Parts: sequence; C-alpha cells; structure tokens
Amino acid sequence: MLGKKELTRAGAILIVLLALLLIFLVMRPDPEPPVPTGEQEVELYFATPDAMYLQPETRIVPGEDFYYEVLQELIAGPQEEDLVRTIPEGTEIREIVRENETAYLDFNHILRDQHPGGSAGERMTVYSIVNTMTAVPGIQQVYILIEGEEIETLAGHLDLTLNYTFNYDIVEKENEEQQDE
Amino acid sequence: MSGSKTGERIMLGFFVLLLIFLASPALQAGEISIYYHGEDITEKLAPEEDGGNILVQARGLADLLDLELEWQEALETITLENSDDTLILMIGSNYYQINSRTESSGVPAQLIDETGYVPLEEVVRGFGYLTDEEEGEYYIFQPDTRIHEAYWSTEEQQLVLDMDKITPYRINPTDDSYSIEIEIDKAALADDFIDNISDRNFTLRVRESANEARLRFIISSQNPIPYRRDGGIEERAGNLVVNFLPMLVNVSWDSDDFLEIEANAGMKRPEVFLYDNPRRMVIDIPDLMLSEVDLELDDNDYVEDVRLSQFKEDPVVLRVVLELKEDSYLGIAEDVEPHKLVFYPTEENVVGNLDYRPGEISFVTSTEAKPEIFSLREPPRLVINMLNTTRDNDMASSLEIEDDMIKEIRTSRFDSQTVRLVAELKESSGYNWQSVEREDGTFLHTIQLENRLRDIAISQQAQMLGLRIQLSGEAEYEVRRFTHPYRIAVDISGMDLENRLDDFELPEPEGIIDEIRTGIIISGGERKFRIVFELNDYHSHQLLTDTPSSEIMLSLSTQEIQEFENIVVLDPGHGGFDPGAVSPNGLNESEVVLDISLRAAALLEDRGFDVIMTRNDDSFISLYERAEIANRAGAEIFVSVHSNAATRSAVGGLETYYGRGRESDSYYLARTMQNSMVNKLRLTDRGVKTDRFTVIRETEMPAVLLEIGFLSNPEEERLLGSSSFRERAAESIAEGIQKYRDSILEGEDYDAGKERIN
Repeated sequence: MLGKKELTRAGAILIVLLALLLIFLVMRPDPEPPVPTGEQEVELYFATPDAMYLQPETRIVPGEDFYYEVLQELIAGPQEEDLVRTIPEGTEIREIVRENETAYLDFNHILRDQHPGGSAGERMTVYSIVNTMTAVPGIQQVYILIEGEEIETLAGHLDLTLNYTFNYDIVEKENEEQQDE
Repeated sequence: MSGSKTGERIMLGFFVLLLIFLASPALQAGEISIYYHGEDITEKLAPEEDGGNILVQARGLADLLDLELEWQEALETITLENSDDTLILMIGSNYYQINSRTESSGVPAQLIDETGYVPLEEVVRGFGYLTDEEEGEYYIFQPDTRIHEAYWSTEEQQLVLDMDKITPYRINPTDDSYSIEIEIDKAALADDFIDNISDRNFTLRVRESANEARLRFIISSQNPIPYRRDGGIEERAGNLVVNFLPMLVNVSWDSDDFLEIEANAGMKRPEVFLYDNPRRMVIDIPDLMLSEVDLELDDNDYVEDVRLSQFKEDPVVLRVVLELKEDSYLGIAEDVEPHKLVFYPTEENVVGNLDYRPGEISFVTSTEAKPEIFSLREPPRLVINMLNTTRDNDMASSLEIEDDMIKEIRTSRFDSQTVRLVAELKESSGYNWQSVEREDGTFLHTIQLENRLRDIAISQQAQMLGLRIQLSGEAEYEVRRFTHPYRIAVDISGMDLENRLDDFELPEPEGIIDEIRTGIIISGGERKFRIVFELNDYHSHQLLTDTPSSEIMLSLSTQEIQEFENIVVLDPGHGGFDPGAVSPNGLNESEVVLDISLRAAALLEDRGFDVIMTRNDDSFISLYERAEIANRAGAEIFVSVHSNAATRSAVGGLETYYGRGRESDSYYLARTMQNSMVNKLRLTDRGVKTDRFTVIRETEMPAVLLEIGFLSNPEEERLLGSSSFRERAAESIAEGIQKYRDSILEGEDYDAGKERIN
C-alpha cells in the first residue's frame, strides 16, 4: 500500500515537472528574428532638397552582411538626383549590435564632427538612419552611438540617449499616380 | 423498437429470413443501392425490384425511419406509424391508406418468403421524406424545412421564398446571366407549394435532389436576371429573400417635349457620353436591368431612335443609346422623381473662366446648365461633366493647386460634346454646387468642397488639457463658451453635414471633459457643425490656432492661473567647443544666437520681464543642464535660440519646434513665436514642427526652440552676420513672448450665446 502511495506521489511530481517544462517552452521569449540573407531589396531614406522630408530610394543589397550593407549604402548617398545625402562623407560603421530587435549602431566620430549642424540637418541625418534601419526586417528601434559611447546629442538638438522608432511624419507623402481619362 | 409480443416474433422471423436471403444470391436485387442521408443502407432493406418499382423489407424500413410496425395476420395488413402519420398497406393490394386518404402504389405490398415487403417510394414519401433515383441508386433524406411559396415583393425587386425555417442556402453561379439558381439544403417543396414567380418576364423551375439532399430553384428569363450579384441573398423573418436590381419599365417621349426613362425603383445617377457619326447620346445607368419595353417613341424633333442593352452584368449597367437628330442637344433634368430620368432639349454651351479659391472651384457657362458631379473615393476625386459643352479657347487646361484639400484641377474634352473637369483631391469630399446668373447672361458655377472631421485628440499635461480637432480642409470656425454646465462649443462652417460622422468615432472623455457630442446648429442662417465639450470644471481656455484653418487647437487650464511672474529663460544654442552650425565663411551659430539672445534679453527686460540666460558667454552647457536651469528658476516661458543648416545652400527660412506630445502647453507658444518671426523677418516660413529635442522635452514650462535662418544659405548668412538683422530677430522674439504672455493672462472668453443643437 505504501509503495502505491509513493508511486502516486512520484507521478504527481512528474506531472508538475512536465507542466513546468511546458510553461517554460511556451513562455520562452521568441527567438530573435533571423538576419535576412541573400539578395534583398531595401528602402534607403534620403533627404528632399529642401531638408524638410525624407524619401525612400530602392536599392538591392547582396545580403551577405545585411544590416551593415544597408547602412553602408545609406552612407554612400542617393543615386537619384533629386535626393540629398544625409550622412557626412568619411563616416564609418564601427559596429552593429542587435538585441531584442533593437539595433545599436556605432559610428566613428566623423558622423558628429563633420556634421553641418542645424535642427533641419540633424533631423535629416538621424531619421534617415532610423527610418532606413527600422524599415528592414528584424529591427524595431535604433540607438545611435559614436565611437562606442552613448551620446547626448548629435548636433545639439535631438536627444540621442533615447531610442528611435520609424518616423512617419518626416516621410514625404507620395503623390498618388495621376491617371488620365 | 416494438414492444409487442407479435412484433418481437415477427422481428425474429425477419431476422431468420434475412439470413436465408443473404445466403441465396438468386434472390438478391443486385443492381439497386439505397442511401439514407448519404449512408448506404441497401443491406438493411434487402430491396427487390418489381417492374421498375422497389420493394423493401417492412421491418428494416420501420427501423430506419423510426416507425412503429404492426402485422395483422388475419387482415394481412402492415401498419406503419409515427406520431404524425399512419400508413396501412394490404398484402397484394395496390391501394394503401395514408391517414384518412387512400392512395395507389405502383406495386402492392407483398410477402416474399414469409417476409413483409412494402413499396419504398410510397412509404418513404408518405412519411415526408424526399427520394431521388439515379441509375439504380436510390436516395432518401428527410427535409428540415419545407417551402410553401415563392413570390415577388416590392415591385419585383425581391424574390421571397416562404419556408418553415432557414437551412443552408446559396446562389449557384450560372454561366449565362439569363438564369439564376438558388440552392437550399435539406429542403423540400410543401405539398401545397405555390409558384407566384413565373410571369411575363420570369419562369421558375424547381429541382428536388434527394441525392444531394437539396432543392434547387432555377429562375430564368428572356433578359439577364437582375440579381444583385454582390451578396443579394439574405434572411428575413425566417424566409429567404433574394434581392434583385431595379428594372427598366418604360422609355417614352413625353408630349411636353422631353424624354423619360422610368424604372420600377430609384435609379443611380447615370454616366452620359455624347458621340458623333451618328450623333448619339449614350446613357449608362448603373444597377439597372433590362426588360421588355416598347421602344417606339412619339414623333419629336430631337431623338431619332432608342436602343437598349445590358451593357455590363458585373457590375450591372444598362445602356440607353439615343440617336440624336441634327442640332439637337439634350440635358439631364434635375429634381425629378428618383425612379425617373428626364432628358430635355437644350442648347450648346461654352465653359470658361476656371478658377480656384481655397475649397472652392468656379467656372462660367454661357447658358444655364447643371453639371454632372461625381465624388469618387478611390482615388479621391471630384469629376464634373458638362454635356453639350465646349471649352472656351482661353480656359486653362489645368490648375496646379496643392493645398489642404486639392492637388490639381484638369480639364479635358471628354467626348465630342462633353467637357470634363477633374479635381484631384487630397481625400474624398462632399460638395455644394451653386449657380447664379451674371449680368451678362452667363452663369457662374461654384462648387464648394465640404470638409470632414478627421480627428479629435485630447492630451493632458500639468495644469493644462489640450484639444486638437483636425479637419480634411481649411474651415472657418468659432469657439464659444457656455456655463451651466460649463462647456466649450466649436462651430465649424462648410462641413459635410450629411456624412459628418462617417467612419468617425469620438474619443473617450477624460480629465475635466465629461462628455463630447456633436450636432448641427443654425447660426446666422448657416448650418454649422458643432462639437461640444462638456466640462466638470472651467478656469480659462486658450484658442491656439487662427481661423480659417484645418486644425483647431484649444488649451484648457485645469487650475487657476496664478500671478504671472514674467520669468523667461532664453537659451542661446551651442557654445564652447560646440560652435553649432558653421557658415562657409566661418560664421558660428553659437556666436550668432548668443548675440540675438542677449539683444532679446535686453528688450524683454525693458518690457518688465525677468530674463534668465542659460549662458552669457561662449561656454559649453549640456542640453540637460539647460533644461535644469529653467526648471530650477521656475520659469514660465523657455525659448531656445538657434540658427539652422542644411546640405543644399538654397535652403533657407524659419522654423519653430515644440516638444513631441506637448501640444497643449507649448504649441500656442510655438505658433506665436513662429508668426512673430515670419512677420518681422520676412524669410521662408518652414512651419511649426515637433520633435524630441532635449531642451524642449525636459523643460517643465511651455518651451520652444527657434531656428532663425540658415547659416548654409549665403544670403541668410549675410543677414545673420549683420547687427540690424540680429536686432530685428531679437525684437521678433521679444514681441512674440509679449504676445504670448498677454493672451495667456487675458485669456479668451466668449459670452454665453444661445445654443441650439440637434
């Protein structure tokens, strides 16, 4: 009789353990979405000539080191004539770290030191980086770092101790295609 | 099943016999299969064929259909019954009795090897089951519903199937549009079914299919069936209702000289086209079905001939083609009954003087004419057609507009006799058309776009509650305050009153707002849209926007404003190792903005303000420190002074920023400062913007950041280097702050007016 009781208890413990395992499996945070690989079409956000808005330009990247390639293309500047580059020449990417869909983008000092300044210019730079990087899969928000350090600001206005998500207001609304009767 | 002793004995007998049957292949009915609700029950019933009729074992059938079975040896009768019906068959007789009726069967009940056999069809149908036979396969099912009548309601626009209860149904697609098929599962026609559908235009056929346990109603016509193909079947009061489209009933030339097209219900507005060779008018009427109508028109000077066709079937369009006589022009009459279209003789028209003022398109026609106006949703567009019309030679072919409501207006010769104006809108809009005769006999048409409510947002900050109403376009408005109970009413002119709350949900009231409601008021003879905010507390309010505007912003104090101490913090941007923007000739932003700020401080002190500077010299102060200085000082206003830069040297102008999400406490200051700068400095107005700048985010009082000119722009660099411009910039800052302070202190108050709301 005692043996049966013990058996029952062992069974109960086993059930509890199994339940815990199940809970653990269910509750486990989603794994980080994979980094896209292979040729990818991406949208790079560049400034409009009046430095009021950003507009996307489509580019294809090889997808061997996806996030790096996207940012590198953004630094290289637009191909379309009526868009304006947003990142000073000579800016280099030091590191890109991604954690829980947050990207920590670390640039060299050129991004800050060669920046022309002004609220308009600072907004174009920051949001072109933010919008471009949060428009690609796997990144929801962005921190901008310089030489591995958190910065208070890039050009004296925007608070860069905060993280940034996609800014819709600064994207120029495209005119719908005008069809003719 | 049967409780009686006889029953038990019979069952046993049947069972024994059944085994014998199974063992004797010669007696098997071989070819016949019987299905009950899709299940093969051939074995249970051991069917026998007799001259094309099927006989089955009485016992097996009774079990299957849940019937009581009684065998009366003396009379040689088999009685089958359930709670509703009783059926009595006599062995060897073609007559059988169902309830009190006597019927005859194709084959009599028989004893085969001592086992009672009954005719399947008669018994099964007698108990209300449906049967169907197909190549030796016999199907039985019990309908869940019976259909008693099919009839038209409301002028042949709805076909109603009167049934006991609704079972699954559908409209089957048919290849031709001349028939439709309504399929109903588990249904049968009632014995007394009445067909009130078949008439001059329609024929109804009904097909029962026990095989699939369903009933099909096939309705066909000489003409395409006016079935509303987009979801035209519905349930009403336990009946099925099939919606049909309105149908053409008459085309005639009236003795009062006009052409009339009549339908059996209201018609949608047609599209009208005019063509040459031969001269003809094509009238496309949406959602209208063709029917047999007499096309002989009475003699007239305008229309030679009429042709009709079902131009399209999905979506449905009826096309009427009028062959016009030489020099005849027809126009569409307005204000006729909805189920009629009237075309009256008119003259050729010339249109010109296309013009646009915010929210209003205007043009002039040589004769009186009512343009056809269509408001489209996708893409948002207003299409204005003028029939029998040519363009004036000097009429602009298009107007580029690009304001809140409209992008551009194009004109085109749409067909040989129609001028079309297309206004590309920012979003779809209602409109008001008006036409007045001018002194020279021509007619001025104005089409006013109606405004729509886009958003109402409430935001709460310390001591303030912000209200922001966004409209699709600019509107004149008025803000009124009432007491008992306290409420703020915003009366907006030129709104789309008919569809004013389409797709719009009012926000939940919060803070001092108890309730939000909307209505229409009549004020100064004009119907206006009113939004009422009912308050549980009121101290003062501030209208933050000008009229007209597409955005109405109000700030309500949630506490009494104490004495204003006139403490202002001026924050010259950058400094120290951070020069800010640097012009091509080496002019530093930090130096320019310090000078402007010091000048502004002097002016403000003259006006009695207590000014605190975050820096008085070229030193570096962090952004958080700047905000902290203002917070510690208990400042009432914070103004950060900057100059801008951009990559392209052509970019120039003025901007004012307020902190993101700080509409209720900082937007009015931003608006006031931007207006003051734009008026005084005459540079491009780049607008009031919002962003997450540290100094306007971390400060606890109304705070703005000014961007005065672009150092990257050579002309503005020159200005920013000059004392006179810096002095004017300082004046614009001082004046803006003064104006803000004055209006905050004085507040805005309106006399309680008469309020009528419906």
